[in-house]
Amino acid sequence: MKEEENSEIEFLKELSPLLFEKGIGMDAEAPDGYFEEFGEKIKAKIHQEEAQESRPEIRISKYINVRNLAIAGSVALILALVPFFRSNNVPGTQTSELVINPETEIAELNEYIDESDLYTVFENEEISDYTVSANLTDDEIINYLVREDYSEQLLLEMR
Amino acid sequence: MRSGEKELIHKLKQKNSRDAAFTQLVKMYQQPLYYHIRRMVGNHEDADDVLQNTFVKVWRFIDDFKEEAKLYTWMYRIASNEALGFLRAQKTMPSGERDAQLHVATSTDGPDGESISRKLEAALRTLPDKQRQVFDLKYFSELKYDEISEITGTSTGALKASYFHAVKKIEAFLKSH
Repeated sequence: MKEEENSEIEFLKELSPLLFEKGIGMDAEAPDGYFEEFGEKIKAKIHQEEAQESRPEIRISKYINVRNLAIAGSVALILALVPFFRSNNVPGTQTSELVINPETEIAELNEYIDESDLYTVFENEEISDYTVSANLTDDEIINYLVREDYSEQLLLEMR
Repeated sequence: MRSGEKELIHKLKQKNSRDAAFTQLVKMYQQPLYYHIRRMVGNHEDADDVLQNTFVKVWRFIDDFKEEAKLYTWMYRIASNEALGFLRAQKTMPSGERDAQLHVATSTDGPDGESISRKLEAALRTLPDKQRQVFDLKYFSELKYDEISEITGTSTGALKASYFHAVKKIEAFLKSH
């Protein structure tokens, strides 16, 4: 260990003669009486912080009855939920589902129906029956159209 | 760990002897920790704040102190981290204020002995915070590399390299100013 210390001293001497001299200290000094008073100051600070941390709990238990607080909270919650329940039970109230009036014009419908809605419709239907094979005969196609109740005019065009 | 230190730790962890033991601890370490912090942060007011925060943390976390390390390296670690945290927060300070503080440190008024100390203080300010920390712990606090390693969580090899660079920079600064 002593060898290590000597090598460090030599290292410093070689690298920085100025620092090696060790005459260089730092001017920084504490004000007079600082260290004599610091001990008491820090203990007072610690006790003050501890007192502040424990104070809010004492205040709450002294002035507020927890049981009454729970009852008041429940009542407030029920009152807040009443408008929500009321609006869902009144007849004729609009629901979140779209009700399409047969008299609604096509143009208006376009505002409500998104292209993605159409895809959703196709996804939900069983498409296996609608799969069109390249090798279907005319009769097979016609039978499909009849099943789907397509117009006679279209059927005539197929023949 | 010395037996005296073990006994002090034991008293600090006991509720009925904690106050008296803490008073003793403060007396033992307030000066070395103060000067270490002061050399890092640069002025008394900030050093006082950081030192107070350090001892508050020591009080709060003494029960968590694992006696694998020495007590004073643990305390130095807290002090260093508090000082580094303070310096990081200061970096968000408007540059004008920071420059004013640096100007005070570099003033060369006064006799030669005083001016070279001020130059050293200014030189230290040019170092990155962690490098300054290593330099202070090695040069001023005269701790060994393995003790500094415990404090900083850095390997002794990295510490030696850091100290080497710090010394070179300071030497160059002192020569050029």
